[in-house]
Amino acid sequence: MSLPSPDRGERNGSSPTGGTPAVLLALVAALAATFVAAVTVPGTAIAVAGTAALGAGTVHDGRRTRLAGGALLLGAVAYGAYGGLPIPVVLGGTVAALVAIDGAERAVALDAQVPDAATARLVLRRTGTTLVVATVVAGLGYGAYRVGSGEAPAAAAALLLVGALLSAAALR
Amino acid sequence: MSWHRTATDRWRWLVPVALVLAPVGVVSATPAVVLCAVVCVGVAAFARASPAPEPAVDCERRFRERDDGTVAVSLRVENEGSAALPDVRVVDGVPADCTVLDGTPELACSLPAGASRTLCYRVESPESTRRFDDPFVVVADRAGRVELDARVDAGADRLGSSRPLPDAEPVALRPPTGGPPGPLTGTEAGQGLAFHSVREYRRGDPLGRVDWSRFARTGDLSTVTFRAERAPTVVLVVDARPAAYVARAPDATGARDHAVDAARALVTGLADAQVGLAVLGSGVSWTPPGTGRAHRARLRRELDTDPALVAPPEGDDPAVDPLATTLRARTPADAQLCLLTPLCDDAVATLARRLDTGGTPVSVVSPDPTTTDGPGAQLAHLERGARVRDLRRAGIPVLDWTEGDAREAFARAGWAR
Repeated sequence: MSLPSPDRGERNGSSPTGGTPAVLLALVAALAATFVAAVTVPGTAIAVAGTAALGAGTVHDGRRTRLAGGALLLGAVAYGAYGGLPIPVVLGGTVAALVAIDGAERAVALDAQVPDAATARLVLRRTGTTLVVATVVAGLGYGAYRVGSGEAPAAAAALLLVGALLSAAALR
Repeated sequence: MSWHRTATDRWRWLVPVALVLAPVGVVSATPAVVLCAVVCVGVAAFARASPAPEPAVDCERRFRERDDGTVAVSLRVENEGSAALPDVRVVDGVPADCTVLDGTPELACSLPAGASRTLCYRVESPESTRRFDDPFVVVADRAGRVELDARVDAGADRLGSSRPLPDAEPVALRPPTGGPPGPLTGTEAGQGLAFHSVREYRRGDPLGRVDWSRFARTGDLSTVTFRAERAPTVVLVVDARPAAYVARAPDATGARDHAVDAARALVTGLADAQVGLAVLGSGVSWTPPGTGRAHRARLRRELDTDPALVAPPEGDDPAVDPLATTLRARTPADAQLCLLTPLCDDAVATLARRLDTGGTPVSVVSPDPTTTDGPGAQLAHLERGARVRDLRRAGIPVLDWTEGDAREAFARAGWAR
């Protein structure tokens, strides 16, 4: 039996506690999104700024900083499309950005509520759900686009309609 | 129990982001950007659609005192509802002055319907009673959009002895052979702190003990010795035989309870001594002498829970000879006994004398349960007085104590140092 360590995150042996697992997950996802966005110099700059803001907002619990970081990350990934990225890669980047934002939010909540509990399993399950949902939506959207067989403006209009409907549902 | 609802609305901001991205994508004829917006809206819609949890959480806390002076606390959290709880966070309400030694009083998990998780940790055994708060439980939905929190009743919340040990003054019993009791120093030289004497150096004396200034002055090697320190060993013998189950009146505090009170005061008052406990019931229940916080907690537990001290006595009085033999066999050689008894029969007085003449110093603390109303009571009173006198004549100090609590009696008799 080891002596109790005052250091947070080391009390349960090697298992990380509190917000640590969620932060690590968010970091990996944010780096993936940055990697996707790094096809143009402005895109890279925006993505790095987004990751930094997301990190700062997580460490100092600034919700607005976090949201700004998340929005910048998403914007950087979308901007990558103008740099000639294929659509699946852009969608992958979007999913990674959303997972990063989810991880960051979860890290802050868990660190505030249960700083000493082992949270890795819970974080993997819950953020895994976000990952699966985002991936499924991305797959469906991409499938609909391919079925629309490349007539971009028409497909875009159709998808916009779907998006508008979902927005209405979400805002209701 | 009412659950307090907090809407975090974590994904709400995704919708405006999507509403910016989608037109940009359409205007610039970039399908990837539009699809990006679709993914954002999809995630926001999922969060919106995930059902708010309906928590039916049951918590049950258990305490288990351990011999090393710590208490193992386990908190079982069960999902009693019919729906799974995807995100449950529990923080047990440990009192601020209880130190958690091992494990953590926090839990984060998901609980399927009917499933339970147990949270285990250890805290230091408190000196007095501590009240645990109800555990704080937070239940969130799948996407973390809504959080419900409440304090859930966990049953057992009081940790510690029913009665804390009293703050007693240090108590001195009989001077044991070789020196007075307490943190005091003995008369012979040995290991210790207080200066005893200087003697000629002998081969093998530790270098640290050599009086180097004298060596510098005179050239003679000499060794400083210190007074030997001793922690006396005292075994408290509480008389809980049926013969000692007496009281002044049917509703008055019994002599046995007074004896237990005195024993509790002695456990604190003899803090520097090694204290053991023997309870004379139908047999002898024995706690070997020891020191320290953990040992005092154990003694307190024994005094609170020993069946012979809690339940009314059953059966006949045990014979004195086997009791004396058992006590003599178990008591360490240099220990003294403190017998706590109402002295209401000859057997216990015989026991005290026999142990004392056997070489174990005995002192007697005796709450007086006798009264003088009625001829029978008066006879018992006189007989007890004769026993006290006999014991004192035999050289055994007796604290005859009629009124007040044990600490006052010790102070009045001059036993408190």
